[in-house]
Amino acid sequence: MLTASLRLLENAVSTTQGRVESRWADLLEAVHTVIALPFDGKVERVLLEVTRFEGPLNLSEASDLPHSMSPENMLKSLAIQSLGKRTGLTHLKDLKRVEATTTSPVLRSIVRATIRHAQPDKDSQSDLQTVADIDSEPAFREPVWDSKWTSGRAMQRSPRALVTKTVSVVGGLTAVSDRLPKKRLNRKPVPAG
Amino acid sequence: MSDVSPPISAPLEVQSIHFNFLGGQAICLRDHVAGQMLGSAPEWDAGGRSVVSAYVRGTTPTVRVVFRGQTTDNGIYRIGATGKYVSVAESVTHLAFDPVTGLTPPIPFTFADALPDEIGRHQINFSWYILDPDDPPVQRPFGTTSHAVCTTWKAMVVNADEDLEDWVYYRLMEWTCRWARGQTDEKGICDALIRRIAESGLQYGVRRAWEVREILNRGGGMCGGWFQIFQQMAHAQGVFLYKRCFLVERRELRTGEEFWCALVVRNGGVNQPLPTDPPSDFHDHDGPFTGVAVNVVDRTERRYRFWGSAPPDYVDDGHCVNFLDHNGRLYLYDACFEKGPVEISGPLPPADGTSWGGAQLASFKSAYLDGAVDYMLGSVYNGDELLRSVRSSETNGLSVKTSQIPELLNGDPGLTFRWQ
Repeated sequence: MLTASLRLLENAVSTTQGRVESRWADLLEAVHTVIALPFDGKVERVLLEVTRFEGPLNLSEASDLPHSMSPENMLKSLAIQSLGKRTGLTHLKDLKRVEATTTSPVLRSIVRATIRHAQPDKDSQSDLQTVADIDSEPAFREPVWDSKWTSGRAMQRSPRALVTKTVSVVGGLTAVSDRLPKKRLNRKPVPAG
Repeated sequence: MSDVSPPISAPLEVQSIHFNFLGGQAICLRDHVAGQMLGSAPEWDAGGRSVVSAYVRGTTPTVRVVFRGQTTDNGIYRIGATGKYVSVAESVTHLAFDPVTGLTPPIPFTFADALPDEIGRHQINFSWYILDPDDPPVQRPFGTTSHAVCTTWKAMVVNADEDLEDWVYYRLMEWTCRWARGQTDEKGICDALIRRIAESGLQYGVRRAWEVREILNRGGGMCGGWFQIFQQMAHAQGVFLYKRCFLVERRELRTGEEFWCALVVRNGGVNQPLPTDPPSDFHDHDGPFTGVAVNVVDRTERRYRFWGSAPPDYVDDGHCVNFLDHNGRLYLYDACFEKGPVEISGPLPPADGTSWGGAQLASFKSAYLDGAVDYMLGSVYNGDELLRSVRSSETNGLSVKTSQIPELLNGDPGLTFRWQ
């Protein structure tokens, strides 16, 4: 059951192969099944794929569609709620990217609530392993339109500051945590010259 | 035959008039089809273009005018325009026509009068003239131009967190300036907008449209876009409305029953005679509800189901509405179903996923929900048979009349929603 649901979700958001047409009710049931069952690396990877999915789903018409947000956003919402419950803030960058780029106010509100309620690392069930530390920029809100006729405010970006993040991998996918890297705690001062 | 000679024409023509130029006072308007700002080119030109512009009421606009003529007519002119509502103040300017294009650079002109000090959409006609240099009081006409100008109640307040920008789609501006004409406060404006929203021609229940631009381009959409479009309508008039979504919270009982799985609405919504979802078999409980199904009536009909079928502690779907906080009172507007203003006692619901139930929902339920949402769909025993609602097969369990669901049901809240 879980494998079939994972496969259905994977196929629906696949970027490398032609997406098969799905019934929305079937996709919804698949994601409900996935988020209700025991969590492992494969589940986490598929939920991340759903979270990162940008294209439209190939849906058949014969199903009630959601009212408050698009099916694509509904899948993301459920995947993000699950990632927040199961992995805390491990995938904070993905969550913040969705928060910053989504045009759905309901999804944005759900992502914010998920981030707010997620515990930093407590009880994380993530299978991720730290492989590197990088310096990255905080997420900023991309303007939807690019036009000189839009006021300056909309084009302004947050002041950039470098923040050290932990990059991890699971199943070939990378994720960035908001945790301070442990090695920094033991970093010795580098002598000048 | 008259002995009065016709006025001698001026040796120039109006080529274009630009209202929303960079640094001007006009409100930025966007075309929902092309996605471009209307002011990215002059709103009026001699080639036939004529699109709307907008200002806060009482503004005295400055526009930029390009003239066409011949280099032999370069010189200093006193130019103005008369009009029904407003005139263009005379200005002495040196016109130098480009030898190739025949055009002057854009020249600023300021209106002689302020625009009407009220919300409205006005058709302004200008008769352009130059004063005859040989006989100054005599006006030498050189054409007429016509312009649709909207005047709004207040300046829009940008709110990036709410996706409220310094522009709106021009159709929203035109509609709201027509509908709210004569209104003088926030509530009067919102009341006028909800009362006349059907005049937009937009429909509820149009599939695959959850955003403002999609709704404008497809002629309608779902509630996730409608509460944005209503917020932007108010924004066009400088009024702020909150957006809120109440999401169905499915609670599983030890008995296997579920309170609740979906909102059920029989109303087709704005400009929609019937719900757009296909007919389905419902099992309705219309009388007082104490947790047990009684006198169930089977009905097959078109109804909207706003499913909230996610596992417990997750949320998926619900309905989206707007709130106005006016003079310390809270009013709900439901643009999808043309409901409002509905005064709600109590605080504005939060947008953080908080669950409200029982007494917290009492005013919302009695004043709004009982009339807007006909039934709540759940899984409830009818005698020994569990009438189970199943999202995947779109099977309906028991639909209980919303107004008959008590505040407390067996010690628990009869209804709960998560607010986003």
